[in-house]
Formats: sequence, structure tokens, C-alpha cells
Amino acid sequence: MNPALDWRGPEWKSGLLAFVVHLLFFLLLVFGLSWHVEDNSAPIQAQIWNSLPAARPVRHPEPKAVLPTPRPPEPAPKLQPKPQPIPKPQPAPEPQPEPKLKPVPETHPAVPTLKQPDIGLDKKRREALRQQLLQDQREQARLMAQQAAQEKLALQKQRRERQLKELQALQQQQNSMVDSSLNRDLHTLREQQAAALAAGRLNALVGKYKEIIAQKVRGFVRIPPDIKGNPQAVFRVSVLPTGDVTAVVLQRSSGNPVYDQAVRWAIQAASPLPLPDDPRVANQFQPTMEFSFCPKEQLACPSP
Amino acid sequence: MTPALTPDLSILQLVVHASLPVKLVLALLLAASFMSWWYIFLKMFALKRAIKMTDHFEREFWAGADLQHLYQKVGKQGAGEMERIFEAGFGEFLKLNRQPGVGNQAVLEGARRAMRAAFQREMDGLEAHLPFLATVGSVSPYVGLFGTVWGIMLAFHGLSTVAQATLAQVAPGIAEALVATAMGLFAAIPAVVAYNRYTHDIDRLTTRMESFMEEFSNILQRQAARAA
Repeated sequence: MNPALDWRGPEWKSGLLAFVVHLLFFLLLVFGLSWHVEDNSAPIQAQIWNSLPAARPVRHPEPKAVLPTPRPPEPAPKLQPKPQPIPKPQPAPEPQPEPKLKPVPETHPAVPTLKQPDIGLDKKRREALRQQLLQDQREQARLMAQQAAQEKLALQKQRRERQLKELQALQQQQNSMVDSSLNRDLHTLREQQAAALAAGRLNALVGKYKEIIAQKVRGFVRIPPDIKGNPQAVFRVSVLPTGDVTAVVLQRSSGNPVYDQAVRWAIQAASPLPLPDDPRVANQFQPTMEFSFCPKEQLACPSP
Repeated sequence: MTPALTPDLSILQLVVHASLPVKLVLALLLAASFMSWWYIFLKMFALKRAIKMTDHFEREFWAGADLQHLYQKVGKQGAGEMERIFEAGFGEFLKLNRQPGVGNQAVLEGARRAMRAAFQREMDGLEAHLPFLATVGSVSPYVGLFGTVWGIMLAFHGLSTVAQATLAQVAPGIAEALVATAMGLFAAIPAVVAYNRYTHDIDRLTTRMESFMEEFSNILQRQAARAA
């Protein structure tokens, strides 16, 4: 009786899963903590490295190799001219840079006289500067070109987006037009309903709704292929006020049980059935209604 | 090698070297956590099954299956909660209908009572073990806290006997004590989450079953009126 005691399988399964969860938690605890300790050990190593160059430069020759490496950032400009003395013989085959360089020493006559060996270095430096300037200009040009290209792309994108928006607006317009026409159809249908009632033509409305229901059921029927002619099956269908189908009883068989079954399934699948809003009309369909069905719409049903 | 290995040992050592009350607290919390996880999974499977069966039955019922046919089917198969309510109600309805001299109203009242009783029974089954989750969720943080306070008390007591007090002397004791709080939270958090989740699920199932009972009563009433 008690459902709580019936779960034989799940009890074992959940016990196992609970065990797995705790195992995972234990592993997390052990490995999670060990990670933290490794992190702590790392800063200690760093401290030893910092103290090494200060404390042991006298004892070991190795730190000496370490010492020059931190220096390079400071003498970097001084070191560059050193390898350049090799191209000194080159100025002879290159006459073009010389005329440009000459006017510069003239403006500063005092400095070159004092530091003659520096002139060569100055030349080199200026050359390097000029090359740098040229390179900078080239880079600027390249950047400008890139910017222009990006702007073009952005413009194209904007244009495309505008076109898309226009298209969407058009589609929406069309959709709304279709909707309004549908609404109008519904409206006219309601008006027709009222008119029919006013005229006392209840039967016409009932017939119309019968057709609507049949149409809905027809969408669900899977007609067996061995059907001959246009046989009619009649059912008694019990319907709730909401249109939900509660029972389908066969009144008169079509002679083909497979077809009868197919129609029965279709009626059940079509639940809830579209019932009329008006209670006077709805009463014709409730609580039970006679429902006859023929597979072929175009042919006339053999009258019962 | 050694600095990487010691912490693995130390987490176990923390527990092993803990004082007896702390060990008891840890054992209690581990048991509570295990039980609550067990119930969490148990309830998860049970509620999933209940929701699935209810969905299935509602679909079948409102798809317009014949009530008699449905009643036969429910009697044969392993049934869900809502099916058992339907079975109780419809069974009572048929039994009372067969007896002469019982009025329409009395038949309906009987069917309603039978459904109500079945509903209470199903609810009892669904809500089983939930109070345990609530208890673990609310109490285990306090139990863990108790273990921690006890451990810290011992750590400071040991510190008072030493002339030169350093952090190294209290740190292991406090770390060991904090394991208890961690354990308490580990037990409590899933229990609270699961409790809230399952309560919500059961509330929704209750609403569905109650509205089904009302709707089914209406259907029975209509059938009785038609038969009369």
C-alpha cells in the first residue's frame, strides 16, 4: 500500500550515489588543501633567489654571471654603437648620407671639436634616427590605410543593416495585413452566427459546426489503404463543456473494423473539439453527439 | 617531495589527532550528511517518477479514454499517485451505484471521501523523509559550530601552559576545529536546497491532484445524472 516502501531499486541506487558524493568531497578536501600548501611554498623559493645575489657575490663566481644580466637595460644605447664600428669602412661606398650629415655638425661646432671620436657615433645615431623616422612614417601610412579600410567595412555593414530593417518592416506589414483579414473573417463568421440565430436557423449553424468538427477530426484520421467506396461509420461521442472528449462509442460500423478503429482514434486525438460559444447551439453537441464520418469528402455520404 | 606530501597526511592527521568530542561531532555530521544525500537521491527518483506518471495519466484521462477501460487498466499495472486516487474514487462510485436505494448525492459523497482518503495516503508517501532533510539543514551547522568551539577551546587551553606563546602552537588546533564547521556546512547546504526544491515539487503535485479530484467529481456527477 505504502509507495514509500516499494522503491527497491532506487534505494540501492541512491545509497551508492550518496557514497560517490562523499568520496568526491573527501578527494576535494585532500587535494584542495595540498594545492594551497604548494602555493605557500612558492613565495619562499622566491625570497631565497632575491637574497642570493646580495649575499653570495664574493663567495661564488656563478653569481657574477648573473650580475651583468640585470645591467643591460641601462647601457643599452651605449652598447648599440659598439657593434656598429664595423660598418665604418662602408661610408665610402655610400656618398648619399654624407651631404645630409654635414650641415648638422656645422650648427654645433663646439661639440664636435671637443669630442672628435663621438662624431662617428653621432652620425650613426642620426642615421638610425632617420631610419626610425622613415619606419614610423611607413607605419603611420599603413595604419591610415587600415583605418580607411575599417571605415569602409563599417559603412557597408550599416548599409546592409538598413536594408535588412526595411525588409523586416515590409514583412511585418504583410503579416499584419494577413492577420487583419483573418480577424475580419472571424468577425464576419460571428455576425453570420448572430444573424442565423436571429432568423431562427439553428439547424444551419449546427450543420456548420458539424462540418468544422468533422474537418478537425479528418486531419487526424489515417485511412487504411484497402477502403472501397465511401463507407460511413457512426459514433456516439461524449463531450465535456470544454470540448474534451470523454468517451467514443461505435453506433454503426462501416463494415471495416480497421477503419472504425482509425476513426475512433482520430476523434480522441482531436479532443478538445471546437464547440460553438452559444449555449443554445452547444446544447446540440452536449453531453453526447452523433458523429458520422466518411473518408472521402468529395463524394456524398450514403445517407443512413 | 616532502612539503607536497605532508599536507595530504595533515588533513587526515587533523582528524586523527582531534579530541574525542570533535571526533564524535565529525562522525555524527558524516552520518547525517550521508543519510541526507541518500534521501535526496531517493526523493529525487520518487518525485521524478510521480511527476512522470501523473503527466502520463492526465494525458490518458483527458484524451478521452473510456472510464471503465481506464479503471481496468489501472487495476492491472503498477500505478502512479493520481491513478490510485482515480481507482479509489471510481471503484467506490461503481460499488455504491450497484447497491439499490443509494441516492445520487450519497454516491458522489462516497466517491469523494474515497478519493480524499487515497489522496492523503499518497501525500504521506510523497512527503516521507522530508522532515529529516529540514532537520539536517537547520541543525548541522550548529553541531559543526559546537565541534569548532570545543576544538578552539582546547587549543587555547593548551596555549596557556606554554611560556612562549606562538601561532604555530594554536594553528593546528584551530584548523582541526574548523574541519567540523566545514563538515556541518557540507551536510547542511544540499539538505536545505533539496528540501526547498522538493517541497515546491510536492506542492505542485498536490495542486494537480486536488484539481483532478474536483474535475473527476464533476464527471462522475454528470454520469450519475445521465444514468438516473
